[in-house]
Amino acid sequence: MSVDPLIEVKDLKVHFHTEDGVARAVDGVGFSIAPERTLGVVGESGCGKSVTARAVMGLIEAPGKIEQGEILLRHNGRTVDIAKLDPRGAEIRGIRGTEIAMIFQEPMTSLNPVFRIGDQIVEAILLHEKIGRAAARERAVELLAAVGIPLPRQRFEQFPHQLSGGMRQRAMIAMAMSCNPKLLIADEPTTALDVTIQAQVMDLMNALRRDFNTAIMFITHDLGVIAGMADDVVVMYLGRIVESGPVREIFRNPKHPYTQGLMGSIPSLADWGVRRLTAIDGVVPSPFAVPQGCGFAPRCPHAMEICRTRSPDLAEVAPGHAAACFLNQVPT
Amino acid sequence: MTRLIIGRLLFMVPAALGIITFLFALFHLIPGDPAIMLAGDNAPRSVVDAIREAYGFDQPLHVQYGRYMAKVLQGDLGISNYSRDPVVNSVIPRIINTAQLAFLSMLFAMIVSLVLGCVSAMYWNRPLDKVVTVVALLGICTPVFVSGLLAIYFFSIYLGWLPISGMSSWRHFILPVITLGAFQAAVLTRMVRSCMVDALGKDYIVTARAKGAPEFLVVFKHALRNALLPIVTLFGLGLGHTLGGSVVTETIFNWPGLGRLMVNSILTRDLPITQGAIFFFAMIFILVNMIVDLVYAWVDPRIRYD
Repeated sequence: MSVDPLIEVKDLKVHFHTEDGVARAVDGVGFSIAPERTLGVVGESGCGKSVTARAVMGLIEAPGKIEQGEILLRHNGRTVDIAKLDPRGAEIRGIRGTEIAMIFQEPMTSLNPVFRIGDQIVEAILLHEKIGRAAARERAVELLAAVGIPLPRQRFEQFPHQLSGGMRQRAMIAMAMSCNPKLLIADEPTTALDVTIQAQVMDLMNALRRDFNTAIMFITHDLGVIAGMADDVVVMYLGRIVESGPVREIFRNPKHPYTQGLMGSIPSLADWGVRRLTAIDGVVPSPFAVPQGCGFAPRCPHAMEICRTRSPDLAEVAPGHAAACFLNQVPT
Repeated sequence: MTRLIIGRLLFMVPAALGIITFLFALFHLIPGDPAIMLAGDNAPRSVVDAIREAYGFDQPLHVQYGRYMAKVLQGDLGISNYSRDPVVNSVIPRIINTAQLAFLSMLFAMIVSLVLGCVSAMYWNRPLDKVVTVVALLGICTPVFVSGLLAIYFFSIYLGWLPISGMSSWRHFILPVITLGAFQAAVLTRMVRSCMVDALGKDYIVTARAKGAPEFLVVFKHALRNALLPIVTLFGLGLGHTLGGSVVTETIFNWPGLGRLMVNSILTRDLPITQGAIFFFAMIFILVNMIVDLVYAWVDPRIRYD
């Protein structure tokens, strides 16, 4: 990948300062996304993937705080560090929607129930572009058609509760795409949908990526979705990246025991009746009480003495493929 | 929407008939012979009988009920036992006086509570929010007769800025409106705050911010519109109560309103006036509730389209 990355996250730490203590939701995460590529971010609930996405949007609000790190975005010919921008300031608002847009897990609740679908899209357009309301309306109708909503003019006038879940997610995508963002962050956009609708939404996103030349950061806990969508993958556990690399490499040759555990828990038709599904023992530790050493050590079948005292860094195991595990490294 | 309005208006008919029936029953449920009550305890038998006949109290109950219903439906609520004026003539001017006080107070309460409640929610759990919460709590805990008397003492007697009582100029409105409005504002502020905190935590707020919407649009368009539903309910109740006559405020500021009229009529056993006042109070309450229902439908499309 010789292309300059569209966005580069370096050593990002986001902590939540609550009455119960400090939750290290994101604890030193780094990755980059090149233009028109899709990065899949995988991990269990609470591993920090959504918080990472919100940090990239500049949407971290109290009690959360970006403690450290950079989120570098090329914007208007220069590089901006989103981590340093005021989350309510004008500069980040100019980036949201135009450079980076976001869709969410729950299409049922992420559209405002009291405004018409079309007006919500028109609002997104008018916030960033100096065009008339009539032109914005036309554009919104075109967008609704582009995301595969039948009878877009009628749907424009309807309220969210009059649309099905899949339709609402399509409307959310239309809204996100309204100002041609360079990066679309999709935070578990298919999790709340039926399987057939999931496939449709994924096809739609792949098509839009081609048509709009948009890069996608696709967050999910579903490895099947990653296999169908992503070019590159990062696997997150307890606020850190434990493995990253091209999607084929990760699926064929997972190096981190956590990734191996995730792969082992996917049912496969080829292994039908031959192999039992494996589960990862234990539960994810609370982000308030991160264990010393490697965060995965308490659940890891291969944990060694060193794993309980020191935390491994990401190290390259093959070209473009890195894992944070002492099994692949010579301890120094 | 039109169907909704017509439906609500039609609902007023049985409600009004119910109220009239209740008022008729009230007249016959309270102990004592109505004819003796009108004539006085020591009146001679012949006078009592004459009154009984004149008022139709000697007729069977269903005949009296029919007559009463017919009269009310023609706008005749009877005659005051004391002034001998038609009830309508005494009640209507009082309603207008009370309505002025009520609408101005609620307008004041609405503005204050929306501003304070929204600010409080935006600065949730920070010092500003805590100050607003404590002030609102104080406002709720302070009875109107305390705040009203303190206001009179400070602004009218000590500073001499505002008149003590009556309603002959706009300056007379200030103290009663603020006294009555402040209490309602305190109640509403807490409601606005909690509804706004709730709304600001919703997913669609993140969506709005992710679009790049500035914070005032996020708060006053996306969150407020969603928070309005319970606020409108409470506002309607408050308006209904203040319109029904705020007896204490009206008494303190010597305000010739419906509340005082109702209390005086009860003390003097002027039953037709009591009935008339209750009738109008109830009708106002129904009307306000109807308006609240319509506002609901305007605020929330899920209600409009069901």
